[in-house]
Amino acid sequence: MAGQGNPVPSGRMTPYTPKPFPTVDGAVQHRAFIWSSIGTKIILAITGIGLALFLPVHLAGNLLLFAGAESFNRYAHKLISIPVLVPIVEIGLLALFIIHSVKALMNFLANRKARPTRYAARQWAGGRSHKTWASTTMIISGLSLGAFVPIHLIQMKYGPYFETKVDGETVRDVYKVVVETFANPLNVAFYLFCMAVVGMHLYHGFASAFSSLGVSHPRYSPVILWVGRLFGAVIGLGFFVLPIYAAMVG
Amino acid sequence: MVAQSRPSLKGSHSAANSMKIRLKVWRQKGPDAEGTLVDYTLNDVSPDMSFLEMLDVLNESLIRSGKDPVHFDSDCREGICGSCGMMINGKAHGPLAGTTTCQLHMRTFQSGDEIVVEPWRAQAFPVVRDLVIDRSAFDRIIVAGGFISVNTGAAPDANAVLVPKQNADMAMDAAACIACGACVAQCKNASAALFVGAKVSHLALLPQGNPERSRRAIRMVQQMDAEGFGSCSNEGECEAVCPKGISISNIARMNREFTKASFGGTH
Repeated sequence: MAGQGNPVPSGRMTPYTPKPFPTVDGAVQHRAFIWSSIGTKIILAITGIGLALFLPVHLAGNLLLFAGAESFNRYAHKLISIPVLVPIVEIGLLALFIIHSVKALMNFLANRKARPTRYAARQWAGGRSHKTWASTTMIISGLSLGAFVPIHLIQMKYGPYFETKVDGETVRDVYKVVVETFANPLNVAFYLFCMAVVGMHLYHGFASAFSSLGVSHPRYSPVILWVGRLFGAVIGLGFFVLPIYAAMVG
Repeated sequence: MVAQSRPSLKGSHSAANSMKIRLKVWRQKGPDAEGTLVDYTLNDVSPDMSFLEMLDVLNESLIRSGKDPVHFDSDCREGICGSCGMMINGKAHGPLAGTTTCQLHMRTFQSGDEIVVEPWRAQAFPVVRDLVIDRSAFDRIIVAGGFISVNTGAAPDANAVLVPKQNADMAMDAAACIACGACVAQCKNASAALFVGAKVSHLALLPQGNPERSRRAIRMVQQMDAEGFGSCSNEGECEAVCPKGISISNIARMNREFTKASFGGTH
């Protein structure tokens, strides 16, 4: 007979009782759509697409850096001078950002809990799977972006204030803020890293969002997958050139 | 008549092509016991053996030497019952696509290979013993909504219920799921989305499944969440290891069904 400390007498199986079957009515505690696993993914998809749509707009504006200080400052000034729209978009983006981050973190923790014991040996399935390094590191890329966005806002939007004249009007010299920021090679390295991360996040996230929303078609789903990957690559590369250019100008 | 020479009953298994296989098998005495990987070496494995037959040979030798055999589930051994799931070198059902563990043959491996064999790992699939896991979470999901209501008595005329050919095909593809749990095992989130997606889709595509359509989507998804499965990251690892090649388009359909049912369906 095994001692008290050993619940498993050698050679004998511990009695195993599976969970009882629920009755069909009231089978499970009612959980609202937003707290369900699918609702969570749909919220992540909608907020993610919302945040992703901001990026091409942001990139298009930033590419005016190449047009020189005057064009860039004129654009920046006109943009922030638009009444009503700018604060609404800012609050909207902040809300999307917070919901996306909180939901993603909760989802990640729930998924970790779903597999408490890890495998000793692990292989990717290959074949028809779309698993990539981008898809396995969504939480890491997401957390990096969660740290990047506040730093970016502090450095740029709430950064140093210089004045310049454009068309006879005194405006903020945002061009100078950009050039001065990227005069520091540490900032360049940090931004390049973060832009690669944003590209990776989109590389998986864009197409994944459509899958979560239930978009599936034998012909168009592969197209969406590759459009998403291209989108990630274009956005990542697009933002990649800006710190390098700004550093070269400065 | 010319006497025909009979083919050798020995088959292809001979000393010349017998394989040496080094196994690392997960051994765990009970659900609450600590488990560990244990090394075994088999020197005379036929390339024609199935993976389970190779484990049978291991168990024969363990029993002969008075040791505890490796516990694993198997039933039909012809790839349709869904009993025999195990993680083989970190891949659900082993290296071949569209194959259950019982249909995986040792010729897939090289002599001298080391093979790590582990049970499915998921919070919702507790290990019962060694490679045996409890998949009754799947049964409870089916109980929650994987059924249809029919009047007993005379069967309706076959032509009275019209099913478009395309839907019949898609429903049949979804119904091919054998509930082996490889999708959960392979998924980094231990998500049961492919299994539940297949079951929801199978019935949602057919007129017979329509009366409980909304209720089914809600209840099966709620049960799936209550069992502690993870969410779907849309990687498609499940589809790639599914022995029946169930498409992840069924997950998208489940998401549509669940969303529709959540906003305005009757349940």
